[in-house]
Amino acid sequence: MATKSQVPQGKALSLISSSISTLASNKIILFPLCITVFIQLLILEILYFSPRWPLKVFFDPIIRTFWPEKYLHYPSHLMLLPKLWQMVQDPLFVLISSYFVAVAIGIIAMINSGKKVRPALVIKETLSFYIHIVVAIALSLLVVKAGSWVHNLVIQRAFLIRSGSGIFYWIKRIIIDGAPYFNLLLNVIVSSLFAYVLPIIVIEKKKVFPALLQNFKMFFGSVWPTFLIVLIPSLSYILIILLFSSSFSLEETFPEMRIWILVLSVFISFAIDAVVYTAITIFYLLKKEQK
Amino acid sequence: MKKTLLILTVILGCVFILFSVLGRKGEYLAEKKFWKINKKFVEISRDPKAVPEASFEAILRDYEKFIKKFPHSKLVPLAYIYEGQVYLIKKDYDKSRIKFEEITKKYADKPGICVRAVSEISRTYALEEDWDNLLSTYQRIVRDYPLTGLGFQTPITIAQFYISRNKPLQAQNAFSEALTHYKKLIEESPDKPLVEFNALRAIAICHMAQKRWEEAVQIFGKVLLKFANSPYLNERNAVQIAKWINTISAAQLGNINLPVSIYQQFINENPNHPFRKTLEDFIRGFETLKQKNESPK
Repeated sequence: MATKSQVPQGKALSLISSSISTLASNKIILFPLCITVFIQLLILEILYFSPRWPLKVFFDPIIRTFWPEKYLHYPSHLMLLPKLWQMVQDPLFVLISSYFVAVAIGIIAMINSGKKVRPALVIKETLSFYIHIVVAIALSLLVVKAGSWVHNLVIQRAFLIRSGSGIFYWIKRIIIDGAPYFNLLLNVIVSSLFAYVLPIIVIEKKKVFPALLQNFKMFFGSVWPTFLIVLIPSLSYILIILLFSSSFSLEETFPEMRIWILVLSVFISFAIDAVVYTAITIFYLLKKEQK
Repeated sequence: MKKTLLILTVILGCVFILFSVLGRKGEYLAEKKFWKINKKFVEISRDPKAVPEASFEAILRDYEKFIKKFPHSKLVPLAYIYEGQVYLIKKDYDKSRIKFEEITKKYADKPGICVRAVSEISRTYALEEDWDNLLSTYQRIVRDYPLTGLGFQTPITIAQFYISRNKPLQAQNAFSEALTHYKKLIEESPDKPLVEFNALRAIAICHMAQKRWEEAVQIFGKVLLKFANSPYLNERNAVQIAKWINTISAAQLGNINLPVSIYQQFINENPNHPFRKTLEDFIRGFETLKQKNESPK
């Protein structure tokens, strides 16, 4: 575990490398995140098999209600899969992933305090703050959704630009082609803004609103390091964006490509969460020690 | 921790195997296999001349294997049709026709499949430029499968065939015969609203082809009013019909009061219809046009 002397304060890259070495030497931190990966892959399996018997009995009426009949069949179903996955993501993130991230933070704090790590105890202790964790993450998600809503308005406006050349054409292209990247940036900004909420709830055992208040104080006290700690590992998600944008040509011959990209995105998100939350928790503990 | 992770991985594996085994019961696997064979078929049909004989044989074998592996699949009739099409793109028209004839015998109780097979037979004659057999195949479709989608379309296709062969007199006769055919269908199927719906639209199209514009508009109007609350008049059909009414009235008849009166009647009879807003937009459009025409230049 990194200590104050090992990590130059405010250096995002050092914190990230320290986070990676902490994870490598304390694999137990990954355990709760592995449970999240398991749940996500299980849901992905269920969605993948949803047009087949016996799951189709349950999923057929749902899909028929919202999409045309063709999405119940191969290969159109695989085109629908990312949408279904996206719909599942938000509740999964708020209700399950957030809790296991909090457990991972609890384990990091336990390692930092020099106590023997007892995951069962952390799981139990974190459970008593479950409501606060869920509310905090739901609020951050609401901010992301609000940002996405504004972003969509901008995209819709961009579609109305008729210019075929010149500055307005380039603005249109940047807004439309850059949409997935801007979405990633939006997520990074909001994650940075709420970065310390979970460590504060888990370590300080504070309720959601005092935790939010303290989080904003901490964030505005070190905006750039926090932002960079979240941004740098999140850049690896660009691989998924690139794969999705290039998959349209590949899926003509290999429609299953989409499911594999989703599986890969689960593992990349797992790696990002592990590195980001470990680095943020280390940074938080260092600042706490400093006080 | 390692033990738990191993258990979780085993659970994921078992769930995958379980659903894969249970999923064999449905159509999904057949769809997947069929899609993959069809991909190969699309590949060879892009440039059949450059395709070696063995590739045709391989695809035919794939379809045969598919039929044997999934004998109860809904896709089997389509597999037979694609088999016939492989011969067709190979330019082995005789063999192709034999395959399609087999389908009509095998699925004699399924007119939708039979008519597709017979339509493919007509394609082989068209490719051979055997016009007599092409026409007799069209007539076979009209005679044997009059209530299928292709069956409805074919009397008009016959007339269009004469137009394309530069035989206007025969084309007009074909349109007259088509009109008689459609009217007869309506008389013979009083309890089948879909037949009347399709036949009326086809009648209107024949009138358009005969340049009997006013009758065409009247028939289209009748379809709108009579089938206002029928599931057959979906938004796509309704918009198409209204566009025809608009175009004919404005461009051919120069009578913009006619569509306005039809749409007004429709709105009066169906005040809560979802299509009301579109029709009101059309009425407003016509009124603006009328004002422009009336205002001094």
